[in-house]
Amino acid sequence: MIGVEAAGLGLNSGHHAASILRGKVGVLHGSKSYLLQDRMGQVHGTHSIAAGLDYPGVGPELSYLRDRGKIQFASATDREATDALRLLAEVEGIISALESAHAVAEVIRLAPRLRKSQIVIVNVSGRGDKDMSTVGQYLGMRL
Amino acid sequence: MPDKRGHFGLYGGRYVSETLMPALVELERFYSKVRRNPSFQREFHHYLREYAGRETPLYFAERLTRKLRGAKIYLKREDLCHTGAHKINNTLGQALLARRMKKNRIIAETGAGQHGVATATVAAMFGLECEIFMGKEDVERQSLNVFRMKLLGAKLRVVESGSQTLKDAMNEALRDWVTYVRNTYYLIGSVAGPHPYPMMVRDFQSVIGKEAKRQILAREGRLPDYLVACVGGGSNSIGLFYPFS
Amino acid sequence: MMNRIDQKFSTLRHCGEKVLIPFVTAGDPDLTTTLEILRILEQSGADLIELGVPFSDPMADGPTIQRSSERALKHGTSLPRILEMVHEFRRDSETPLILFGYYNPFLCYGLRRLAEEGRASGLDGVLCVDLPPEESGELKRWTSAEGLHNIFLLSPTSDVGRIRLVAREGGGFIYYVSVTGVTGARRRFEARLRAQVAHVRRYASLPIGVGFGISTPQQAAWISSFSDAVVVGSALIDVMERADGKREKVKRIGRFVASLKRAMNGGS
Repeated sequence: MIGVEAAGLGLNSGHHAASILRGKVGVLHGSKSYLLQDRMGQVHGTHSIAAGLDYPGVGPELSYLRDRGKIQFASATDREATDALRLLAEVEGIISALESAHAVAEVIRLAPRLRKSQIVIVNVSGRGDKDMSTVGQYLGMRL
Repeated sequence: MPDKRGHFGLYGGRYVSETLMPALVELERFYSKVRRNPSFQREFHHYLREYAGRETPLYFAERLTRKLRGAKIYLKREDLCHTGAHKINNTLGQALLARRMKKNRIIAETGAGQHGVATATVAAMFGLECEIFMGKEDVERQSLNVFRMKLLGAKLRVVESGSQTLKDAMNEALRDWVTYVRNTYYLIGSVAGPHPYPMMVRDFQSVIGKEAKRQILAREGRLPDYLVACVGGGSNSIGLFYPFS
Repeated sequence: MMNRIDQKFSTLRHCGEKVLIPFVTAGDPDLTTTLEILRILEQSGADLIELGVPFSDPMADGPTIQRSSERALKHGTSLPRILEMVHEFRRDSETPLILFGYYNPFLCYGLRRLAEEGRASGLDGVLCVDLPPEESGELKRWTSAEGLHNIFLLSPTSDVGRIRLVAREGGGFIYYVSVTGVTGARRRFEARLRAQVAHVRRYASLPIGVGFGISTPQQAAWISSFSDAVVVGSALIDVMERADGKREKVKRIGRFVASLKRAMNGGS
């Protein structure tokens, strides 16, 4: 099981939303979990091209499953997600949401390393209509 | 399963102001009753099928598989749900719960607007009053979803405090809930927030993984090697993963 | 040694006086001015002071305290600097001080460190708005070792079970939230507040302070007629926001707190 977090402009850029990969344990909005925060425990704005991933916290059960090694975590940048969205559109005729495109980006990295008999399921959690102007802007295309 | 106070190991729990504690205890009590109640589950699955359009396909992405020259890739098509995302699974479940709790006002936070739309949708369908909290920055970058919510009859509350995104929308929704807790149901959209939300949202979203499991067994006769999902708050990922773990 | 909070409540009870608890955000407008504010509060009749620790996500607060926190955070107000300021204040004051804030900055600083350094700088208690007794075990372990009180909230939604829980787990006093909602001035209170406080008293022997929304001397006087203490927060920050210049802010806060105290003592 692989969870893919938003690396935004890069995990080391300071502009991302990778709570599990880059956060530390904290409390926000009623539960304790990994949290993106500064040295003094203040929570600042995060960044992701996908508004649905643009959140400094993560569900507590995911933190728990990560610590127990049940879920591995990877990340995808704004660029990788946008590329994945285009590839899926061109190859399969499916325009996914930018959020889901982060998962597709990981599959693009993962699948070629696996044997042909292996099976991967990826969650295309939403469709991309809402993101068309964002993607257009990102690619410098006019709608 | 979390422990009695909603802890998953070190994590989870209930870190809220005292005013909300009784509401969370009440919600937990109601939820634990309906969780195993056949008539609630029947009703939930009825709406998932007839209204949200489940089950969603598990589609073999043949050309993508060929192009990447590796493992077989299946897509779980939550994008084909009504309103365009998996969010509707959870909003249907919680709206049914709110109805049983006799709360006639629903509030929700939203970032991209998908959860806001899914909440406004079920509120319209069940005839409940609905207010959506959304950060100013998100309102500007998600104008399509903002318009959808308005068409669905929801009242939009634009949040101008802090970074004006999802976390601030959630702060503001919590402030509203603490004020109108007696008649209001707070419909959280992710597996975050105080107990019992993380467990409850996971349960409602688990329909994704339950279907995928059945579908892949029918198709391939075995379980997959990898499951991949994006993680913001984590609701679509845990929904897919949980039935496999 | 007896905690200063207990001492204060017991002394004032003997004189038949009620406890006035002003709240100010540490670092608004800056920590040097906060220190001056603490001194003027004390001179103007404050019996105990709540010192707000600013947090980026103050979800229990209304717009006034949110703005105040934002101002404090803008120039880097942080726990270690707040504790230094407390230490400075404690050199020549015995007025009890409690930290009032959200859990995450405390957790991030280290609960043991907070308790040890807090005690050393002269703190008397800690109140975490988003830490109900159920989750407070870890903090309490360190604060009790240092003789600091953990103050808990009760609200109009709390049932008897929760009143008993807070009475058992809490120290210093019980902070009764006058209304369901966030902090901030209210024009009026419901008459049943008196009965609600009496209800809590049936199950709790700790003193009861009432807060959230109290903004005028009249309200303070009425509430002190049936509670042991009155907490005033947002109204003070309103007064401060309206005044120009740091000296003027300090002066006006002093005058306002004096008017509250006079009203509570039966004057006008």
